[in-house]
Amino acid sequence: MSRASVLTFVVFLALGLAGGLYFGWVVSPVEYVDTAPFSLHQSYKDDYILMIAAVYSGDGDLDAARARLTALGFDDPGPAGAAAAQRLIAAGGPEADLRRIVRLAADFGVTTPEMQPYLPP
Amino acid sequence: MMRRAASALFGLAVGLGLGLLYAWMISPIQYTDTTPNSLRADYQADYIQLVARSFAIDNDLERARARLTAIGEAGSAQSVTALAQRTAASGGEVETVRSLAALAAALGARPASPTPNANAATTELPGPTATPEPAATTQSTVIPSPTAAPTRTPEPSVGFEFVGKETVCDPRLAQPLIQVLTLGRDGSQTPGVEVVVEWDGGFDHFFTGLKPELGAGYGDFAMTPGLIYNVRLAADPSAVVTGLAVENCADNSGKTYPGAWQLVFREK
Repeated sequence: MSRASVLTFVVFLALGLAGGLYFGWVVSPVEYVDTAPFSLHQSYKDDYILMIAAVYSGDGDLDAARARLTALGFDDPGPAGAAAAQRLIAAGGPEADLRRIVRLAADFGVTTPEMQPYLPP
Repeated sequence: MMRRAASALFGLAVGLGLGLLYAWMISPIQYTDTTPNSLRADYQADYIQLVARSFAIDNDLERARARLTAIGEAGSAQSVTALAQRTAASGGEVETVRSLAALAAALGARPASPTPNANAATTELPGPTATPEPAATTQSTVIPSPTAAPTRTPEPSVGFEFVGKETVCDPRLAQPLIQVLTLGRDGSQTPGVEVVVEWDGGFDHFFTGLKPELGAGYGDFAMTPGLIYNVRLAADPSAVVTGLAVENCADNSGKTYPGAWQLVFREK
């Protein structure tokens, strides 16, 4: 094989590689249409946790809340609930929401100083 | 020249193959920040149920709407109604069915195709003083209004009382029905109330509010001629109606057809 042929091969290899990556990542990327809750954007996860907290405030079923949080990818629901509560506190969420989500985190055994004002008496 | 062209073609093919291998298999795009509308169907159902249960707590319809919008078509009012019906049919949690029915009613769900009596024009609900005695003769069509009564979010009930029953004669009904209407203390229709129907050798149950096009507190059950039915509310066994059988109605030409019973219950 001549030097020119090798060079041609390498150049077109690079072009093909670039084309393949462009096609695979841009033109026709892998599509996720059947995703699980744990892949949700953090804002949706926080809202999901808030809904779980609302339901928990109504039925008091901690096992059901744990199962729902596990489906979100949180094997340790306490810190997850507390982190979501912290973000909601920082964002100045409605007090009713804050009380519900703080109660959820607290009932999983996690509290922080910022959560204290919203803890049940 | 031929040699260089072959090298170019071969290089391009190998490069393209390697590029696709890397992009699709080794390092595909990772979707870590997805939205609810990409969730698998069963997770979408869980999500909608959670929206409904949450709505039952906070009564924030705009928030529920926003959450359902995020899930796309699966979050439409009709989809919520369909999910409520599926959940009830599969023996799902009563609280979840109640919540879904209430949310569907609040969203003002309409069916994709009209049900047999959805176009009824007459609206006449029995008043709170209606007699609980069976109607001696057949009466004009009485079907719950699809829009007349405002919906309300279910609250923990202290029980229901039976208000009255009457025969409904509507030749458009495809089959004899037990129609149940559940009302709140203020007279507004109450969705998500579980109704138990018993007969000799069997029983079944259904929920009000799963046909919101006929009223938020409306539910019905198809009767079989020859059977005697007892109807009660699961939330309050004292609210019971016994001895219901198919009543025949007659049209102007004297031709008979099976009628329906409409039972009204009101929250105490």
